[in-house]
Amino acid sequence: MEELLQIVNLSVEVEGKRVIADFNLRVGKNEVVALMGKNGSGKTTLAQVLMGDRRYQISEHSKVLYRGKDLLKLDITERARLGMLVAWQNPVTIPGVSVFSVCKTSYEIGRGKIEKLTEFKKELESLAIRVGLTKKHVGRNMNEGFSGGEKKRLELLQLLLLQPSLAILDEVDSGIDAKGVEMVAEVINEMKKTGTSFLLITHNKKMLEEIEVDEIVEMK
Amino acid sequence: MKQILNENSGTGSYRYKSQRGLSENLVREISRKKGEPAWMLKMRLVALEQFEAMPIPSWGADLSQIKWGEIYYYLRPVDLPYKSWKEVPDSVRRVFTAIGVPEAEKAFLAGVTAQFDSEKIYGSLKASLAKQGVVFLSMDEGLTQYPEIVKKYFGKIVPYGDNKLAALNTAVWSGGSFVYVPAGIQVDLPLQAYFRINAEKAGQFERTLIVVEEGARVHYVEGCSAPAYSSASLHAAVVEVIVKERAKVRYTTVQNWYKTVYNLVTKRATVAKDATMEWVDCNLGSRVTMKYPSCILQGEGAHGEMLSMAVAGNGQDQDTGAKMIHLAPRTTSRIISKSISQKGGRASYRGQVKMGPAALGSRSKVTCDALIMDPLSRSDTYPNNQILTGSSQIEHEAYVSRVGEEQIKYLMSRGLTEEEAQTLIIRGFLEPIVAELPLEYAVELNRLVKLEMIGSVG
Repeated sequence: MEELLQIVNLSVEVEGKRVIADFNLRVGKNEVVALMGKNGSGKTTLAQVLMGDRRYQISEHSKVLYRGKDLLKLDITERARLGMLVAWQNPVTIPGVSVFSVCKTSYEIGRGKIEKLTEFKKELESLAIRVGLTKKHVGRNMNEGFSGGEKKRLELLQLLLLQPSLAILDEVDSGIDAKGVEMVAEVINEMKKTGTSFLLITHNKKMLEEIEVDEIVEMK
Repeated sequence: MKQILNENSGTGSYRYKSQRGLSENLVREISRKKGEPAWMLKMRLVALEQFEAMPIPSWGADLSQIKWGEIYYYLRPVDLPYKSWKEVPDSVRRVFTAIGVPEAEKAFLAGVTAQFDSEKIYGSLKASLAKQGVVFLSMDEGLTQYPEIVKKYFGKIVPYGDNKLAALNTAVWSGGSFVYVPAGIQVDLPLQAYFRINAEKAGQFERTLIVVEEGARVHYVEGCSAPAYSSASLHAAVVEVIVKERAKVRYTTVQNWYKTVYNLVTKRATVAKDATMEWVDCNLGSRVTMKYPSCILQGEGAHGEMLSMAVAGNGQDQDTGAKMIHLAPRTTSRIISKSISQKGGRASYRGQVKMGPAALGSRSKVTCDALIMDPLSRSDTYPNNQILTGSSQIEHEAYVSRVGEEQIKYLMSRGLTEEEAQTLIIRGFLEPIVAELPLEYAVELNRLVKLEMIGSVG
C-alpha cells in the first residue's frame, strides 16, 4: 500500500519533558489507522505536532513525511493546504466569527470562489443536520455556547465539507452519545471509500468495531 | 469645480499655496480669496488669537511632535500632492497593488480624471435634491449662497473657544460640506460626500455645517477609499449638526488617513425635542486620531447614538470616544465603541456621559468592546460619567478580548494563513458596525481593514 504519512523515530519534548519517544507510525492511502493508548501517552501531542503546532520541541533525528514531503518544515497553513485536516479534541470558541464564514473561507481556499452562496449555505445546513446539529448552527459563531458534543459535531461537519486526503481525528467521538458515535463511524466508512485516509485517536473500542480499521497502533 | 480644474490644467501645479505657518496675513488672504463677508473674517481673526492663546491639549494622545510652524494651512482644492502614479511612495503603491484598487482610483490619486467623473455624479445628485429644497454644497458655496443660514449657525455648536483645534479650524477653514434640509423632508438616499471630499481633500481644515429642520430626516456620509496621502501632517476638521424637533440625522464617517497624519476632529450636534442624532464613525489610518463626536441632548425625549470603531496598528494611537450631554428630561443615549489594536498599536476609549440637573428620567448605555491582537498592543478605557439628577441612569460595560494564539492556530488548521485568520476575526468583531453602513461603505470598510492588515505586515 502506498504511504501517505510516515512517522519515523519521532521524539517530542514539551518544556524539557519528553512526551513522545522514538515513535513510528504509517498511514497508507485509503487506510484507517486507529491510535489508542492511556491518557498522557502523547496522543494529542502527536496530533498537534502533525498539525504543525510550534510549541513542541522535536528532536533532530525525527522524520515525518507526508505525500513524500518533509512535513516538519511546513507551517500549519501549508499542511492544511496539502489536504491534511486535524479535528481538534477541544475546538476553540471564536467570538464574532460564524460557522458559515469559517466554512466558506476554508472551502474557497481549496476549491476556489463559491459562485452560488445560497446553494452553499443549503449544503452546509444539510451537512449540519447530517452530523446531528441544526440549520441554525451554521449561522452561529464558532463554538460559542456549543456543548462539548456539538463542538465535535462541528469538526465532523468541516471534515465532510473539506474532504481532506488525511484526517487526523483527536477523540472526535468523545462527548457524543451512542447514536452520535454510530454517525461518526458511518462518516469515516463513507469517506474512506471516497479517498480520505484516517488517523483516528480514540478510546472507544466499540466504535472501532463499526469501522473498517486497517491497523490499530498502541501508544505507550 | 470644472472651472478650477480647467484653470489648473493649464499650469499643472498649485493654483495657490500659502506660506508655511500661520499668521494674521494668511488668514486675511484666505478670507479675501474666498470673497467672504466681513463677519467671517472677523471670526477667523478672533479664532486665530484664541488658537495662539490656548495650550496644546495634554490630556490625551501625545501631540508634542506636531510642527505647527511647518504646516501649509491653506491649499486650494485640486492641489494634489502627487502628479503621477510614479511619485506616490512605494509603501502606498504596494498596498494599492496588493488589494487591486481599480485603475480609476490610482488615476485619481495622481489627480487625473476621477474629479470629472465625480463632478457629474455630484451634480446629478444635487439636482434631484434641489427640487425638495435640500441644499448640499461645499461650505464655501454655502457661505456665498446661503449667508443668513450660515451666519445663524456657524460656530454656534462648536465655538472657536471650544478647544485649540476648533480655534485653528475656525481661523483657516476651507472646504467641507453645507447641508440644509427643510422641515418635513425625508431624504431617502444618503448624501455622499465621498466624491466631493475626495476632490477637495487637500483641504485639511474642512468645516461642515448640517442644519436639519423639524421632522426632517437625512443621512450624511463622508469617506475616502485610498489611504489619503497628505503632505500636511495635520487634519483638524470641525463638524456642527443642528437637529431640530422630531428630526433624525445620521452622520457616517469611514476614514483612512495616511500614517503620518494627526487627525484631530471636533464633531458636535445639538438635538432638540424628540429628535435623534446618530454618529457612525470608523477610524483607520493616521498616526494619532483624537475624536469624540458629541450629542447635546437639549430637548425632552432627544436621543443620541454613537457607533464607533477604530483600528490602531504599529505606531498608531487611536484615541476616540463620544460625549453625550443630557440636559432635558427623558433623554436617552447609547454609545457602542469597538476598537482593535494590533502590532503595537494603542486604542483608547475616552467618553463622557453627563446627566444635567434637568435630565430627569434619562438613560444612557455605554459599551466598550476592545480586541487586542497581540501582546505588544494596548487598549485603554477612560469613562467619565456624571449624574447630577437622582432619577437618571448610566450603564457602562467594557469588554476586552485578546485574540489567542489558539484561535489563530485553529483557523490556520483549516487552511487560512495567519493574516487571513486575523482578518476573519476582525471582520467578525466589526460586523455590528459594518451592518450599519450603506453597502458600498461596508464593502469599503472591509477592504480597508484588509489593507490595514497588509499595510502593517509589509
